[in-house]
This record gives sequence, structure tokens and C-alpha cells, in this order.
Amino acid sequence: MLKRTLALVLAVLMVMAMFSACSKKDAGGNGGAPAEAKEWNWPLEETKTLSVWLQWTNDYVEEPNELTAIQQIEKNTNVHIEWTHVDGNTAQEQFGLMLASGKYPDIIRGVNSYYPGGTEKGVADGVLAELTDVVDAYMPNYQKLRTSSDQLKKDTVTDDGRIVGPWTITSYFGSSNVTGERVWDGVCVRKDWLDETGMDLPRTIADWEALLPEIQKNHPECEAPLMIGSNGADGLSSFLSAYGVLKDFYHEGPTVKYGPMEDGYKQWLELFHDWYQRGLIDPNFMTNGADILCPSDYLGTGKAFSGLELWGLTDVVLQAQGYNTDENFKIVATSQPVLKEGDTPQIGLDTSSLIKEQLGISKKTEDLELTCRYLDYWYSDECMLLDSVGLEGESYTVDDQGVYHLTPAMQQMVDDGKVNTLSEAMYMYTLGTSDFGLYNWGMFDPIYEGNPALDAYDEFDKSKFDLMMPSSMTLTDEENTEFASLYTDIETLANENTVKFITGEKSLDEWDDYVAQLKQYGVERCIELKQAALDRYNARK
Amino acid sequence: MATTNTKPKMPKTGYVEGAGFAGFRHNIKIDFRRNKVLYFLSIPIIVWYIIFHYIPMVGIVMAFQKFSPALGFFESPWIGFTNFVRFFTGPYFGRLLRNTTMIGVLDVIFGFPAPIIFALLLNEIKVTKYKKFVQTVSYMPYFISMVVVCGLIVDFTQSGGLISHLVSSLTGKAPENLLANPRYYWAIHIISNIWQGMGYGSIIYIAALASVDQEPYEAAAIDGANRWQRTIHITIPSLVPTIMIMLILRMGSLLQVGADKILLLYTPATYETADVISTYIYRSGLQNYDYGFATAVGLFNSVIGTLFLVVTNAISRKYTESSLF
Repeated sequence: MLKRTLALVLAVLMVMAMFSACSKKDAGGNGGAPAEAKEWNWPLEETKTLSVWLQWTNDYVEEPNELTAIQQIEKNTNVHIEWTHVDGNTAQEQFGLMLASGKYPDIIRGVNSYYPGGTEKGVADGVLAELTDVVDAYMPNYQKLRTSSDQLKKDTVTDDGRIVGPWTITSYFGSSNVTGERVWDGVCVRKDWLDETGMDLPRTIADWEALLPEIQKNHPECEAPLMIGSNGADGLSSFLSAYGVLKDFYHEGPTVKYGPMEDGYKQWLELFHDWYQRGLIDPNFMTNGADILCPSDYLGTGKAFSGLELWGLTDVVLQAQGYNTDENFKIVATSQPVLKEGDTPQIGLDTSSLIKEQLGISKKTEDLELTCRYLDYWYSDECMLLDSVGLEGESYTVDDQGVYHLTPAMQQMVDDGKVNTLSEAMYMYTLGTSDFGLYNWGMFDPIYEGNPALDAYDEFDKSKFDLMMPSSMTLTDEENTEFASLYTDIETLANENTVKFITGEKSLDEWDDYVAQLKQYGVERCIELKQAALDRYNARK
Repeated sequence: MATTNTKPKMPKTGYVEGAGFAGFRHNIKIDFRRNKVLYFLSIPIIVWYIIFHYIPMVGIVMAFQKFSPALGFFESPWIGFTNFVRFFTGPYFGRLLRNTTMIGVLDVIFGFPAPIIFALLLNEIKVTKYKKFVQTVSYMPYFISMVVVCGLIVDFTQSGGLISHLVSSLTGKAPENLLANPRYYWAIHIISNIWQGMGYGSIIYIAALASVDQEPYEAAAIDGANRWQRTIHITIPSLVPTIMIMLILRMGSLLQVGADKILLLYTPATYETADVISTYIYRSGLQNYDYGFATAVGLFNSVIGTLFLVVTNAISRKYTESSLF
């Protein structure tokens, strides 16, 4: 199956590449002097057309042009967009096909994750346009946002200070409040079971150590008092981060480290091995895949007591989906576990950077200024509101205190059975989380107004990101090649041994041999490469 | 059929033999005239093979390149055998090769005879309705999507699962997650393959059995041969050509162990026995966009597969006189 798909992809790639090689490579270059700023007024006098590639799916609407907000944006700018939208599962494949076809849409969303070798490689390959010289003139909104904080200045340029693609910037209702998104995932426990023990919400490893055996005693039928990720550490490195370590590369101050060879990792393994043997950890963790959220048939049914959950997946939702009918059933969030009281909870999944996806502008775009200007419009507050909460009076209202509320019409859509949830009602207006430009993560506040789901944020949001590698840190093309050739084997070794250490198939007495093996596979060279990249990132101005 | 040793004379109709290239051309012409419709029908298949199997072979050049989709085949830099060297000298080469071959070979040893035995058993059932019923039921698993099958396997082999309980009641040990234990992976993989493919795989043998001449059976019955002897001395020998062709075909795809299935079933805990060449390609090649490396490893896999095919074919030609080419 995989092989056949691969063969098919290769076939198409190959045919496409032949055509692309024949067509000429260069169009609309932008070398030379910085562009001059001109007067620019929306809407345009005559309709122009641009094309956008993005990852987007919607169960109710076939095409972004059918979304109310997108129609309004077209009205405001008089720019018609031809969308190429792909779904998440095939995005990488579709991106490869689009690249090989040689026909690049004007604006491409997510180039940083989809372009092999990263956005800079895309510019070097002559696929994407470099924007360093034109940002000032053509993208005033973006430039203003970009330079509004030192962090953003650093995150939005390359190591050598160039601008290769605008990043989506996260805000809470607009440019005056550019803040990272709240943490949207974290550890949850069954509140009704917790109350039976009379204990408080577990926050330290010691709390958990005391609580889990109690749960096991009270509920012998509970298979998995604690659910963990399929490789031991979950997507957030919960519990592991209590020891100041993340599950792969992280940094301690300016120094890059590789988690699976650190002492903290060994201590965490000792803890989890002990818990595993005592049956406190899900015995099927390798196959249950609770890396970002627990399977609902575990947490919802009493097969599990605690584990990761998304903020919006509350007891109410699980009950509505029919997993549990007990009226006392309740799930509450807690903070990331720490070693001792007073420690700062750390997290290993970047949910709240100031930047999200990077957009690329095709080098073949006919009118670079128009493309930049249009994209820049998406960085305006007007467009941010349109594409996050829709149209004022129609989908939302603002009260005297400046608080946003949904209109009764939105609830009506749910009641009429047109959509299932209020979020989906909103996605009839906007691109939702697939958007770009200035992103408004506050859009969920009016949607979830008065919903206890929002309480989870209070706990999750205590986590800090001090250990995380910066998301816009980049390796050079050569570094990337060398890294990739070493890292697959290292990752295989680390994952395999982590699980064995936890289940006890391998004794922790063999820890030193394992670390020696990691070194033999070249982990130190990988650290060096990451270190070089981090140093360059830190030196950015 | 006019055959002369001097100058061949081309008859208006009918094939010629031993007339060299001219005769070949003549034969083709005649053959085409006679079987116009058949040739016409084969066009889509030929086109399909050319487009999807022959043209893509050009993609093999990626194995010798640091391939980037934006640059294409013509501009990606050439790096010679670097990709191959990297794979052969990598720490997991030995393990990957062992797992791929073992899963492939075990699958043939246990999975190949299963449909044959099943077909022979079915053949002995004389109640037609019951026979048809068993046959239909046995096809069913083949039509279940691999994702669903793997979901079932994962559920049943969990520490609380049905199979896990059965195994523990047989061995007397506490039920454990069978998929987390590298020792069991090959067994789980192969047994589930048999469960899924046995019924469907038996179709061709049942068809072959249906065309076996009934006379020898009657003769054998008169000579006093019992059922077992009839099976051994009449049924199986008449199946041998089919079995050999199927075996040769099977050997060609020996190393193409179902990567999709393994991807759905393996975990880091079972890499030791479950990680095969194709899954390694997936992790290192496709997840890291290293197309060149993935192609190199895939090419290696195909070359070994072709070798198996040729060797089996030669052995079969020598000992059983049935072969593909």
C-alpha cells in the first residue's frame, strides 16, 4: 500500500518534473534596491485574482470562498482568491506534487513545515520570493507587528537577518495585544474519584506518588490509573519535565542538551519503571497512543483515572458522546507535575509562541506588490476580526466593556441542527485555526462563554516553555542533511530503550551502556549541530 | 505450418516456425489479425504498466542524488553511492535485513501452504451448500480494511484483550500486552496474515482442483486407494504446476512485507523484531523528506526481491519443469 502510493507519487513527480524543467525558472525577480512605498487603497478599482495554498477542511463548506468572512474580505479588497485546499493527512504529499508541478500559488501557507529543508531552502531553490527589501514598503502592518517586540524581531528573521516569509502572529483580539496562545493541552484527573480520597489536586511527583495507589485501591477495576505517551514521555514531556528534561533536544540556558542521555531522564525512568511494576501506569501505553489526549473510552469509562486532555474535551463532552452516564463524573485539569512545591511547571510542546505557521510568497507571483499588500491586509485588525469572529451584528456583538459575545443566531444554527457545535457555527464564517496573518486565539472566548471548559486554561497556562527550543530556529541545509542522516538511528535507539527501561525488559543498570551507544551513533554531533543553530538564533538582532 | 531449411516461404495464412526475424514479423501480423479484440483489450493494461511501472523507474536516479522536488531530476546534485553507503554502514542495517527476511520467509513457510491445505480440505467436503458457505465465510477477512484489522489485533492483544487472556490461560502467566513483547511480534504478524489471506488465497487452488480429471480417482478407487492416498498421489501432483507458479510469484514479493500493517502494529518496544526495511524508509526517508535515501533503500529492497524471484524460478525450472520464464 505504502509502496504503491510511493510509486504513484514518484510517477507523478517524475512527469511533473520533466515539464517543470522545460518551463523557465525565473519570473518576477526582486534583486536590487529596496522597493519604494506607494499610496495603496483598498478596495482595488479593478478586480485582481491571486491564488492561495493552505491546509483546510470543513465538514459543511466545500470551498473557502463560500465562507462569509472570506466573501467580506474579497469585498473589502476586491481581490478574488483561488484556493487550493488540502487536508492534513495528505498535506505533505500534496505539497510535494505542487512543488514538482512548477505551478506555485502566489501565497503558500505552512512552508516552514512542508518545504523540505525549510523556507530558506525554498528561497535558495528559487521557489519562494525573498521579502527583505520589500517588507518595509509593501507590508506596513506586518512590519509594525514584527518590530513591536524584541522576541518577534528575532523570530521573524533568518540567522543572517533576512525576511524569507511572513509568519502568522498570534494575538488576543488584535495588534494591541500580541501574546502567545494559552496552553491548550495538559494533565487531567477524575475529580469524583479524587474527592473520594480526600486529597488535593496532585501537583508534585510526591502528590502523584501518594494519590495513584489510593485510586488503585478504591477502584481495582481501573486499568490505567495514569495514562502516558506511547514512547513513555507524552507530547508535552509531562512528568519528565519535572526533572528539568524534555524528551528530545532542549536547552538549559544557552546550552543544548539531548534529554534521553541526561541524568534527569534516568531518574524519570526509575520513577516510571516503579509505577509500571506497581500497575499505576497504563500497561498498554505503547499501543494506546495517549500522546496528546487520552482515548475517550479510557478516561470516559473509568478504565483510566488521569492523563492528557485537550482543554475543550470536558466531562460534559464525554457524557454527551455517551461514554459515561454517572452524574458525578467530572474531569478537572491540573498543572504539569513538578518535583517539589514551588517549582515552575515546564512543558515540552510549543503551544504558545508568538508565531505560528510561516507563509511563503511564490517567486513566480506576477505582481509581488499586490501579493504582499493583500497578505498585509490579513495583518490588519479589521481582517483579524473578520476571520476570527465573523461579522459584527451577524455572528458577534461587542458590549460596553469591549467583551465579545456570539449572537443568538449562532446558537440558533446549532439548535436547528445545521451544525453540531458553536465552533462549527463559527467555521461557517471563518477559516478557523487554518487562518493566517494576524491570528486571534481569543476567538474561543465568545464561543465557550460561560463554559467550564475555559477553567482548564487556568491550570494549563501555568506551564512555562523555558526548556523548549525556539520554533523559528533553523539548521542550514548542510546541517540538516547531516542531522537527518544521524538522527533517525538515534531516535530509534532512544525510543526503543525508553520503553524497555519502563517495562523492565532492560534493567537501568545498563544505562551507561545505552548512553555510550547513543554517543557511538553520533548524538554528540547532533547536539553540536543544534547548538550551532541555537547560537545563531540567540545572536539574531 | 510450412517449415523449410532453405529460404522460408511465407504462407498467406498460418504461422511459420524457424524463419528468424522475418518469420517473427509474419507471425505477429497473423496473430494480430486473428486476435484483434484480445490485443485491443490488453491496451489499457499495457498503458497502465508503462505509465505506472516503467516511466517511474526513471525515479531511481533519485537514489544517487540529493533530491529536492523543486529542483527535479535534472538539477538535483549528484552524490554517487552516498545514500547506499549510509544505509549499509548504519547501525540498524543488520537488524533490518534480518527482520525483513525473517518475516518474509516465515510468511512463506507458514502462510503459503495454508491456502493449499485449506483448498484440499474444502475439496473433500461433499455437501455443496456447506462447502460454499465455508468458502464465503473464509473470504470475508480479506475484505476488511487493514486499518480495521490492525485495530482488532491491537484490541485483542492488549493486556485485557481476548487473545491475551487465551494465551495467559494456556501459559499460566499473567495476561500481558502481546504487541509490546518483541518475542511475539513475528507470530502475531504471520498468524493474522494467515487469518486474513487464507480464504482468498485458496480461490486459485479450488479453481485448479475443479479442473482435475476425475478418471484417475475412479481408477484409484477401484484399485483400493483410500482418501488420503488419493489426495497424496492424485490431487497434489495435479496441483503442483499451480503451486509452483504461485510460489515463484510469491518469492518475488518476499521482501515486500506489508509495511502498512507493521506501521500500524509496531511500537518502539518491538522495533527489535518488527522494524523492517520499508518502515525504516518511512521513518528516515519520508518523515525527514530524504527522498534520495528512501529511494536508495527501496531500490536495494527491490534488487534483493528480483534476485529471489530469479533464483526460485531457476530452481523450479530445473526440478519441476514449471517456470515463469
